[in-house]
Amino acid sequence: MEQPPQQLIRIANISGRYLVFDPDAVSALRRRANTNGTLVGTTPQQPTQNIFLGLPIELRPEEVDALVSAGVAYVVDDVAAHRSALLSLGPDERRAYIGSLRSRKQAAHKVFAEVTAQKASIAASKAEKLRDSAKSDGSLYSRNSQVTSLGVTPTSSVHYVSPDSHALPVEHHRDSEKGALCQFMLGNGYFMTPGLRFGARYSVYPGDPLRFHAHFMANEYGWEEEIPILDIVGGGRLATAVKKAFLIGGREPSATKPDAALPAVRSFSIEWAGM
Amino acid sequence: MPFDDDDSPLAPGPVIADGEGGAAAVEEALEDDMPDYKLFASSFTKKGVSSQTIRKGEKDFETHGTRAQDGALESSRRALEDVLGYTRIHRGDAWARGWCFPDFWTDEANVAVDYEGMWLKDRVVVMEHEKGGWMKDIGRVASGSKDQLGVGRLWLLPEEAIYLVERGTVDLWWPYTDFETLLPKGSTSGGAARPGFGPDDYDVGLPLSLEAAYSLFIGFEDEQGKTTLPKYQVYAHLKRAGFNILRAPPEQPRPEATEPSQTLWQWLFSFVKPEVLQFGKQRQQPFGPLVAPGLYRAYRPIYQQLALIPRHKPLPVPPSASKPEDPFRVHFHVWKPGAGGFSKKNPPPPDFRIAVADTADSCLPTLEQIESLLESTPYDPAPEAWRGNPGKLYQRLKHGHRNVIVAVVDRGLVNFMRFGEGAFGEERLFERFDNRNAGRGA
Repeated sequence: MEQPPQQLIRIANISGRYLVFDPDAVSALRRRANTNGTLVGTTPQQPTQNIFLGLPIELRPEEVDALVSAGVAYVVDDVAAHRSALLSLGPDERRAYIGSLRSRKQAAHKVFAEVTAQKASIAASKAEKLRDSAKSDGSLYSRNSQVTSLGVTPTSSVHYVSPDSHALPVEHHRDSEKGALCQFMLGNGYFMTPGLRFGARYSVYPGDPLRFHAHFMANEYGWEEEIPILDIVGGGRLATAVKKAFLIGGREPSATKPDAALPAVRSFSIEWAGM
Repeated sequence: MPFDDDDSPLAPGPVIADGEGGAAAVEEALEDDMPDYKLFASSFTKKGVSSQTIRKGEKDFETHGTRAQDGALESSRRALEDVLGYTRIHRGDAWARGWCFPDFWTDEANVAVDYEGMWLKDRVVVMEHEKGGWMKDIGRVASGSKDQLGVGRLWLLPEEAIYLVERGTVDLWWPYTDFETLLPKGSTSGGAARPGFGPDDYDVGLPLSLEAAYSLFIGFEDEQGKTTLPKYQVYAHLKRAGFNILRAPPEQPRPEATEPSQTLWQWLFSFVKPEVLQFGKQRQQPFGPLVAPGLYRAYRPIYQQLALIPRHKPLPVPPSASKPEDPFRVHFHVWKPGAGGFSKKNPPPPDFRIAVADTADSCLPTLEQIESLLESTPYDPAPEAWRGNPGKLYQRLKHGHRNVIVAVVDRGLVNFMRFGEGAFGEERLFERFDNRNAGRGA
């Protein structure tokens, strides 16, 4: 297969799961492809809480399908890519990676130096104000100069795993029955998050969930699938109770043209009338 | 505050030239890479990790095209990107390096004591340094003969290794030389730093990224030396919340429920039909009224005749044991934080037993699945103090006679559901009706 162009977003397939580690790729997904994914990692700045999580983000298979078929992203077999990179890292890649680690360390050194100097000068000026003596200065600096050796753990492997190694071929219409609604909503500029907390498959947002409330709780059904009426009542009541509409949709098989960018999807929004 | 050159306490860090690259190139790259530097500055000050800084003010219903809204969104995105752009830095005094040796214990040449709950063959990372308080429930020291490699060192399971890398505790390295050179026999983790093996010595190995840790240790179900992503996500969720957590040891083959030996009399009586023994209790006739006509002075005999449908009775030793199967199998044992007496070597009975199911490939457990899952946990009826107290009826029912927690994972969102073995048949409400004060209902 041909090499994917550089600006495509790299999605790592690790044992059947789709993850993105690179912070730039994550922000490109959010800004360019209205996909925010689910942050699933521990935030190293504050590792003892479960409210604000960090990298990587996890994507749903249908989201990945939509991104790939929209030409925004490509998928690599990250396990194989790492295995081959670790077992046979070329001298140039190795040097480049070590260089990137060194520059990060230097940057960290600089920041540490700046921060400690700042602290020291604040402390010194305080001390001066209090009792006009410069005695404390020396001890402050000697304590702060201990930071000499540093280790760095990058979040993503961009610096030593070549981005397009082990790219997976595009699988068209892997599961044509399910996933069309997701593709359709993303293609129309909606953002989606897992709807687990509100009793549906997706929460659908009119814009970035950082700024906007969700409008819909959405479920996808097959075209000929029988939908229990209780699902409609339950979904409608749940969604209405949180000031959203319940949305159902499915792919219309006869209306789908093979060359169309988006699948032909019929959707309905349902609201509990509450009468 | 401006940075004053004269105050600088630090000479530039020691840079060991790597081939023809050298410090000059690094310095240059640093100049070119100013955004990176800013990122570092923002990430070292630990402010900003809260939903408040990321989501300023109330959210909006929809876009109204104003600059204020765009600005608010942009600043939220910037704040988020700042937080996500953090790079994990290990400072020299707290630097703890782990070496990745995924196949070490599957190699026949390496021998250590393995037993249930040790999971020796699944341990993939060996720690060079042991610093910090995280070892309370993480990692096990391989024990055995002192002249074996790897013995006496702390070894991590895959989920432990990813978690420690992710929270910025461990610097994970890929070795480019053999185990003996890196970690010679008999050397201890507290030993002095050896020259040539510091954080800047990239000849012996390379630091790995978080992504590499995921790619090395996340696998499919039952892959040796790996864990699945949902299981890791449950593990990390509980660790972040402060729980102590260990992999549940493999199920012990339960001792066969031996029939209590019968006496001759019992054996003889077993031929006599039970109805005959139950004096005063009329058996149901296939026709006629459900409650036999007669004079009743209490509720109990009436209700006893009404009890037609057999009810589930939880037994301390269940009669037939079927082996629980994935995903409905206890995978983690979890202890509340702060409880004294926890030891990873001899853990007390766990506070919670957790199975992990993924929304993508599992449904509500079938009766057989939930039964064998519950029967794999010990009999745990409501505490003694609650028994016989009508006020505690609902607590008793909720508590059940056995219980297990199923963690349902939907693409990274973890949801915990508690399944209890309920037994309504054990709560006979009618027994209380006869105890009421005389006069009521008379």
